[in-house]
Amino acid sequence: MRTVAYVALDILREASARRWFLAFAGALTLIHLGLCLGLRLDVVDGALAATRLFGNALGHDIRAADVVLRNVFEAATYTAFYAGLGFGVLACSDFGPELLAPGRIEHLLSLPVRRVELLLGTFVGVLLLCLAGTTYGAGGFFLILCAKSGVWTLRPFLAVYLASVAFFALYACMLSAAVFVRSASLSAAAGGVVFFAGILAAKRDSIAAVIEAGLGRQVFLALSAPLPRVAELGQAAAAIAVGEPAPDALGRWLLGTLTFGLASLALGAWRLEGKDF
Amino acid sequence: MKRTGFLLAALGLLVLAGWLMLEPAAPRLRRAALEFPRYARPHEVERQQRRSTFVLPHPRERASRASDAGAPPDDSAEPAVAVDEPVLDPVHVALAGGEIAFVVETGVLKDSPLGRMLLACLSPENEADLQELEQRTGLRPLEQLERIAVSSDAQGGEPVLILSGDLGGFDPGVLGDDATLEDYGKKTKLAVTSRRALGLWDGRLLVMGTPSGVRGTLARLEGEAPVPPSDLSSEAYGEVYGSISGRALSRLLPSQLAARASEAAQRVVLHVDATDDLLLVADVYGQDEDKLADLGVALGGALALGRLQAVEEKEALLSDLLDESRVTPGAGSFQFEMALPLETIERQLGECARQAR
Repeated sequence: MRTVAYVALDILREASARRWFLAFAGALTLIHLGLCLGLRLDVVDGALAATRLFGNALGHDIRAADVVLRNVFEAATYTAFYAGLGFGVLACSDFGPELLAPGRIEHLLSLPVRRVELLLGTFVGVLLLCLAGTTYGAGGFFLILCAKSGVWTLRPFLAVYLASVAFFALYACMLSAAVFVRSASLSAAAGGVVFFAGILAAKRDSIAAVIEAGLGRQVFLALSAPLPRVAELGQAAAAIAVGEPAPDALGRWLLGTLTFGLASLALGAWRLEGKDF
Repeated sequence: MKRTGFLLAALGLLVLAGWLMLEPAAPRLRRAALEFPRYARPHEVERQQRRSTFVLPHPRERASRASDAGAPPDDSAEPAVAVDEPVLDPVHVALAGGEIAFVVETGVLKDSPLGRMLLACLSPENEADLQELEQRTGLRPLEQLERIAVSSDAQGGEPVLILSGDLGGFDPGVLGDDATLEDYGKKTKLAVTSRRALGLWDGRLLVMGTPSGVRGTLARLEGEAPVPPSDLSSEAYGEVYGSISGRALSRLLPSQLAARASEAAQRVVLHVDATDDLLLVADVYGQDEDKLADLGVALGGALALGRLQAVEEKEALLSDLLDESRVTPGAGSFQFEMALPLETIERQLGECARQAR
């Protein structure tokens, strides 16, 4: 376990030196600063009477502040969910190939580290990175809005972490793909394919209905069944953020998505154990 | 061996993931965008054109009718609407000039989901009252009435109630044994007691109220009195519509808003759509922009506070009501919108409403 933690920390150290992540952190900080300095919410008796961003009026309806913020929270949750996943797929695609780079993998394997620990450490490190990004980006955004409006709610803070669960499955696929073929592009493509397949999985019954009944349809249903339910998790996150009840099936989707991720990792571990370096 | 274990674990986990995901996703139920009654829809424009059957008499004809009826000639009052302008809706003529003028489209309302629910939830006592009314007067409100309107005169006196519909067989004599019956003008049968009066105009409008209020209304309908300007013809949409003066409104509002309302608001025009959810739009007009803006903010704040309190006290009805409420400031006016979902009304009314729906 300690070895996994060391590898994970190594990933975090590596990420902190990358321009992608520095630029991302810088952009988030600028957005936060902009909101802190430029956003003005005039709340009178709980009603949002005026909203100004750098002096420009944004809408002029007078409504209950928490009702207005619900829409903002929903939009922000969707944005954080999908943009966060998209950024994660692109920015984290080369951690796996870097781990397996000639010279580095031989060096790591010469240390008292098992192959599966290397894989798990890399995975955990990238997930920690994802959680940190979610906390800083979305958490900071929601914190500023709550502080400025006086409407305090934990829901959007919690909801946005459903993206991390979806990323768990996506990155497991990406890492596994990198073990099979050491390529950042292929790793990103694998993540992208599962990302979009996970969105389409929400419509698998409708898609199956247009496939001719028989073996083809059954194969499609079997193959699409374990896909992570990206779209459903996004909708659930938005629903939770705005105070709607979580879907009944959310627990199963979460477990299923995590299980899909573990299956991908197990596949990657199987391939890694059989590789000659 | 260990390697095979990983492969078997992967396959097993994939099967488990597939099984866990089998439950189909229930679509996220979201309330459809609400269409507040902000303007007349084509069928309402057509309906209003159909109802515009009242022709303003020529001023000379009016003076002659007034002198026939024994009233002093009214030289100062020229008709607010020129005689060559399109004809008017008699209900709007009856309502013209009042501090309060409201129309309820009962004919449409009773066939709406809300109307069906309300009718289904009438208590046995309500139904007995309705039957007694039918037996005593011969009036079958649910079948004969098209609209119910209420007005009060410019001095804010006693309200006058106006029922519109197919009332040809109605006998004004039901007002009471002590009522005196008379013909008023060319089209009106009038029954008067010392305190109440009831006039049937053209078999279409039943006017009820104090003798002075009813006579004033009938005088306009009979062309004996000028018709003050009324913008109701352009506001005739929704299942309830009408206008109220700021002064009259201040009498209806809570004390903290009443003073502000009387200072800032000159007139409030109201529309309610009850074809599905109950949607209310009120346009508040005033001359003092600052006071109007203050009133808008105060109203928005009061609604937000009320909503927060309702949420905290778990009063679903009130929080639903105030959830979609908003105030939209404009030049010389602001618009106030409020919605009450049909499900909320159904929940409040209970089983009878559910069955009716």
